[in-house]
Amino acid sequence: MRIVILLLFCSLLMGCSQEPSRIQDELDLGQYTQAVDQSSRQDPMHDAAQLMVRLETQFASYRFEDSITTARTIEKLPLPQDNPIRLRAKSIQLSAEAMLDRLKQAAGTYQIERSILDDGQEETTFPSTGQLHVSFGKPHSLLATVQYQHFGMSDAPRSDTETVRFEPDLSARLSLSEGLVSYVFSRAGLTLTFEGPGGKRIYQLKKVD
Amino acid sequence: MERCSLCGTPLETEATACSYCKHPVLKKQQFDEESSVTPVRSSRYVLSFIIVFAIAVGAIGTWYALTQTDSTHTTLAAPVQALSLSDWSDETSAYNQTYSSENPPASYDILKFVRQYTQTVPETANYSKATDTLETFSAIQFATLDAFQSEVDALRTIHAASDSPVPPRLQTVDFKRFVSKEDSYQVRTVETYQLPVNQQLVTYDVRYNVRLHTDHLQITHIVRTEVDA
Repeated sequence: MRIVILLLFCSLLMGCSQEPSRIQDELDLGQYTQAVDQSSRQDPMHDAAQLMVRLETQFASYRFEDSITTARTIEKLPLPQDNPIRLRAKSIQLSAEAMLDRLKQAAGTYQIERSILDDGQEETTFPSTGQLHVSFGKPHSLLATVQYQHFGMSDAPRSDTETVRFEPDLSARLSLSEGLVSYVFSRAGLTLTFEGPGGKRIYQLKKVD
Repeated sequence: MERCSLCGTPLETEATACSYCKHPVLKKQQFDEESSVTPVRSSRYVLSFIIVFAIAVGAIGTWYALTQTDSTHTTLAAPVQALSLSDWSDETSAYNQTYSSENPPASYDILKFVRQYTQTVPETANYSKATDTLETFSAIQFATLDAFQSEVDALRTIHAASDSPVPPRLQTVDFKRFVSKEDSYQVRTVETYQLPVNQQLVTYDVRYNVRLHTDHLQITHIVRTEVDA
């Protein structure tokens, strides 16, 4: 029993003598590469900082599945619950998971609900046809494949496939020589706008499956 | 305190029968015999109490010491939440961001900066010394003149495809290696751009050197090599 008390006392002393290391400030400010640069391999925080660099590069590359894997590795490190590395890794993990959920909801087949021609003066509906199929890629989660299936104006439908890089807000703007195509996902569905010299053709699409 | 074994009424020390139910106190004799042993037992109780107390104090002390060292660095133990979209997406422009010694760039800021720079690459590929004004190219906001010039030279494949009706565009940026060397950052990426002709792809292996120039980030050196995807 005396040994136990002695050990406890020692661990208490160790807790007190644990001075905040120099790299701790960098870790708190999110400067993980500097923390890696200035710490030695033996430093207990070295591996954690290194993993944070990996996590951030994956997250910045929009590789959400890889980010979640790395965040889980960080979660298993013997860090205190309120350690800033642990908290940031968890935040990134939650963001990546939320993003993948949104992408899951957004992927699917869409049908035209309304098609509007806006020529600057007035908005008129015009007849349109077809479907769109959207799927998101791996490992780059925001890279979508958009399949046009007899899509667009009834007299000139298009049937082809396009690769579209979406931004995290689930919108994409692709420039054309004299215009712009924009894709915007919302709760209601997908809005596809072709903007050219003749005005805007807006397709409001609804998910069918 | 001794209690009546029948009804539980507290007994007086010398009582031989319960004051309430008159039940005789049978074990009174036995208890008196045992009382000679109690001093030894009670000293044991005191000792074990001291040990338990010491362990408790030790545990609380250790816990306090550990939380103390950490709580100096964390502001509030708020529940962990997902990051806001503007924190990690390219919603806000990275080249307008200024830094100071109190507010140094976080490692993610560097990645964001480079990622936003890659969006200017198709435009840079268009640059022609003869007809264009350098200042109108957004890449110059991110990089030094030398870095811009080296990009113009390195982007020949994209340049060749630039006069098509659909301009080339960025498809993916993959961050591969990201290190700090004192006050400069080295970022290696693999970037894929989509060319308008048959949706052909061109992939580059790119090494960036980024540093803090007075108060803002700047790409000082770019080595761009075309690779097979």
